[in-house]
Amino acid sequence: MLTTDNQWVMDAIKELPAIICDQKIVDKKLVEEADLIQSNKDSMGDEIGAITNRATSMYDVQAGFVTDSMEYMELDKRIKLCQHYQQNAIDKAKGIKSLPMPRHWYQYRASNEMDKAAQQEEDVSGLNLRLLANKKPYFMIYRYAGLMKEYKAFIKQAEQNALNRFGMEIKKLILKAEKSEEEKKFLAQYQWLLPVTEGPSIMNRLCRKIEAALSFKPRQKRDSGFNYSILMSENGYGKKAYNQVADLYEEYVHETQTYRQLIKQGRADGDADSQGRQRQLFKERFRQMAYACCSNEEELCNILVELCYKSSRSKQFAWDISGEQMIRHLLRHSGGILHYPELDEYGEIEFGGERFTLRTTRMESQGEI
Amino acid sequence: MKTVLNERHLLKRAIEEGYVSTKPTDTIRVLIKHHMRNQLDKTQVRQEVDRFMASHFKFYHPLKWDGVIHRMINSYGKSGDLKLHAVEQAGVTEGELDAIRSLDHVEREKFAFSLLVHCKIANQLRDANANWIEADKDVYDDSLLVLPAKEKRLLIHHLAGCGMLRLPSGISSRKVQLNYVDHQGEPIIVLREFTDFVYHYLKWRGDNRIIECVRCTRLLQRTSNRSKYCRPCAHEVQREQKTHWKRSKWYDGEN
Repeated sequence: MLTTDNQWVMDAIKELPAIICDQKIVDKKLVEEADLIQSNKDSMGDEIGAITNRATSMYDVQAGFVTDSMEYMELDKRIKLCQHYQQNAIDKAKGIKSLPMPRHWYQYRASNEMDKAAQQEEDVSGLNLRLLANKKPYFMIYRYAGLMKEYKAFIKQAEQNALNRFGMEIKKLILKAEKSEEEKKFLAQYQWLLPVTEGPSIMNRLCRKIEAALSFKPRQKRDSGFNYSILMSENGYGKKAYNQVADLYEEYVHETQTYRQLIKQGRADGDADSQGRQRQLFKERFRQMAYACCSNEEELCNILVELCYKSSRSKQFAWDISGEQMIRHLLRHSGGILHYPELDEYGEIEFGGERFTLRTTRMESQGEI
Repeated sequence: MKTVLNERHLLKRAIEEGYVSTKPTDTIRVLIKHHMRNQLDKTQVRQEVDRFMASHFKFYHPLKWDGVIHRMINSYGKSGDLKLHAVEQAGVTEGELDAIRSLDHVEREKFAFSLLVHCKIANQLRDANANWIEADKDVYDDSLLVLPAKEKRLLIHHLAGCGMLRLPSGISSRKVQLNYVDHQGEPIIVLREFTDFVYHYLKWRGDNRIIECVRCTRLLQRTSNRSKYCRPCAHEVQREQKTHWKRSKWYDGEN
């Protein structure tokens, strides 16, 4: 359970009567293996998350209507009913057959058909289409990578299209006072095809505020001016070996990227421990290949530092293969003196919620590393 | 130009040398067409492509490519367009050049010429194309534009304003239809080589900075009075001169 006395959260709470959803009950029985299998099958591809997202979308659509208007009240009812449909989706795993969420709440075609059927009552004509929650709200682009990609691609293309047709960006077009018929049609099409809803719901407004706040954050300078020659020795390296290691580096970057994609898609094998072991094996494999390109440890270290530190790309490759040699070079440059932070309650350096003091020691031989 | 103009040549290289193009889907496409033309079923084509890529493309990852290859096989199986295309040349007529020249703005003219050449190629690759062309990065790159990004984005707007382009009704399409394509006239510029082809237009326009490479006759833009060679030839000549200098030095040294 979470408790809070935060005023903002307290103020946002609406005192409403509790909703009790009528639940269907299954007959009691002794659970057998076949029942568990069936239950697993029934819960495959459950709709719980989808129903929750649709309810969130309804809040966004609702924010576009005046409080107490017919549309507002209807959406309020639908949002409350979503809890019932969530309960139904959970019950599905128990083998209880119950009604799913009405399609015309979230599907254009069903909604359109519903409206056509109800056309005789003029005052509610097009009501279902107006209340349709068929898109996720804008802030969800930060939750779903696919949605973010789709949104960005659409915006990029629509912006170029607006420039092609009207010679101005969409923002300017929206603010334009007197719009031509073609411009109105374009904007209507833009709103219709937009993969998300940009309604004035609280979450969307918060999202915009955070975006605005973060957009003023100065970007970190990429070039820190770090003199990487302190990680190298004075002996240089051969061009042939450099080219071979450079090829290996490209392969390393490619394989790392592919693996990251697999992890992102949830397609990587094994748990965290086994992934850690895989990483060790991966490192070892590239270590051996790098030494096959250049057997001189010092020369290899120089090549790796030059390769990784001259650009803004990842330095992990150099540290994976030749980390110890780089430390040796650092020590040689500092005359064997090593400064390191030690955990100290009264230390001057604060990092990660702990305090540290900088200590100094002299490393007598390379074997100590 | 990144469009593959000669699929037959690409297929030959893939089969004989195991060559995989910079954009691997180009090689995959020609292989799919080739195997389908040889009456292999979808599963066999999938296996053949998989085997080829695994042995010739060192960055090949079956899991990563699975969806792409699967979609491509289905797409070609459905459309039945298994012809291997080969674009040998593209001709530009006087009427087209005059229409472009009437823009009277060199950067817009370069862009219009690039669109035209891409459109001519697209028309050859797809018979029912009707002068539509995707105005993508490739078209902009081939225009060799010297313009700020903001102005680059307005080029299509200017051309459409002059009635040279027709824009699609859809909001998410990048295609444009060219209204200045002349299918009747005799070509006065015939392009067989598509690297830096916009120089052919500048030469026709009377730009005296456009000269021919003294070694390979390819066009280049002179940046100084010493310019003689195109970039690849310049590297070649530099290497030869260096070798020659070293040889003469060693020869003199021995004597």
